Amino acid sequence: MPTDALDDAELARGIAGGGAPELERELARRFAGRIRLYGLRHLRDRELAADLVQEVLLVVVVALRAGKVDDAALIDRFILGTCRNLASTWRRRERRRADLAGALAAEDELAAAPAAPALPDPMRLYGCLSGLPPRDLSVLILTFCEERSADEIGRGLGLTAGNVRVVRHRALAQVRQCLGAEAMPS
Amino acid sequence: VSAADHPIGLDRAAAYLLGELADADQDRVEAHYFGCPECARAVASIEALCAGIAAQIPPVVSAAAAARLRERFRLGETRIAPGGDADVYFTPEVDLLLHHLVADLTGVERVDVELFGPGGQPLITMFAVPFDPGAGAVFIACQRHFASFPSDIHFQVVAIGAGEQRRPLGRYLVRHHF
Repeated sequence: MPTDALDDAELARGIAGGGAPELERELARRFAGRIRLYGLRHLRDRELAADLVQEVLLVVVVALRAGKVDDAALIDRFILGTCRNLASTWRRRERRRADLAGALAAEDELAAAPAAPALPDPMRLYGCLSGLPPRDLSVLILTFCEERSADEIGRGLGLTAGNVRVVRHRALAQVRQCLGAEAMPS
Repeated sequence: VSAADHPIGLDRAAAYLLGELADADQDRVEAHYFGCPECARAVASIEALCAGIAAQIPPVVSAAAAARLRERFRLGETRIAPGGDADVYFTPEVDLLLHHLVADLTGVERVDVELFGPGGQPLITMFAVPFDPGAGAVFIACQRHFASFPSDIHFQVVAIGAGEQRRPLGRYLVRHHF
């Protein structure tokens, strides 16, 4: 059976005992993006988020090989828990790459986890942003370029924080539509 | 996968990425997208959009953002007093021009920047621009793709008070040489 036809639990069970590099690569392919998202949210740094992907995958694969994951059906929860533990440790002290990482990443090709999604073309995005109403554009600039909170933005614009979020949502939706992004739940 | 959390919509995903959700809600979002490839892809796509916006250089930047630009680009900086004028040159040695429009921003809560063409015709109003009250200037990040604008631009910095009351803080003429 092709590896992409296996569900997550079957993948996890297949890795137990070792000797299944293709299953490990498939696990990495499936979860790298989710781990990266977690890292971006909690570590606020793209490079650290990329490091977190490698390290979490490594810890998870080592645990699976050693039969230390009790319930393969909950592999997603195990991976999330590993993210939380590692990110918490990295936040508490200076991040130091585990010695284990360098040794095993080369061995099992987990370093080949998928790249992050591409950012929108800058000039096309600029064109879409230019089409926004001035206040909506200002909210996006202050939110994402200046990292101001909804409260701070609201004070300047005479809006509540809730209103700022509504404006932000509308503006993001318009930019997505302008970019022609694939439909997503709204 | 909790059906109650599916799908993670645009507003919830953006709030998550910005760290606006309460801890319990944040945990629910994470538990959901770790078990839901569809929502993980959706959140990743929104993250890419937000990161793309964050990577843009807005036409007006705060002092802090100007400092970050100095680390990334070669800037040609010009300080212009209220009522003053300047010639600025987009030479091959600079990536960006940064005009410091000097203004007393003490106590100001909102600033709009109005642009006028050489004959005084209104071109565009930049609404609620980023600024720092203590910086003593509004920073225009002039980029090469602005070459489609007229070369001679009059900037007007306006403080906006309660009830949209306008208080001009300064007018500046910049002659751009691309």
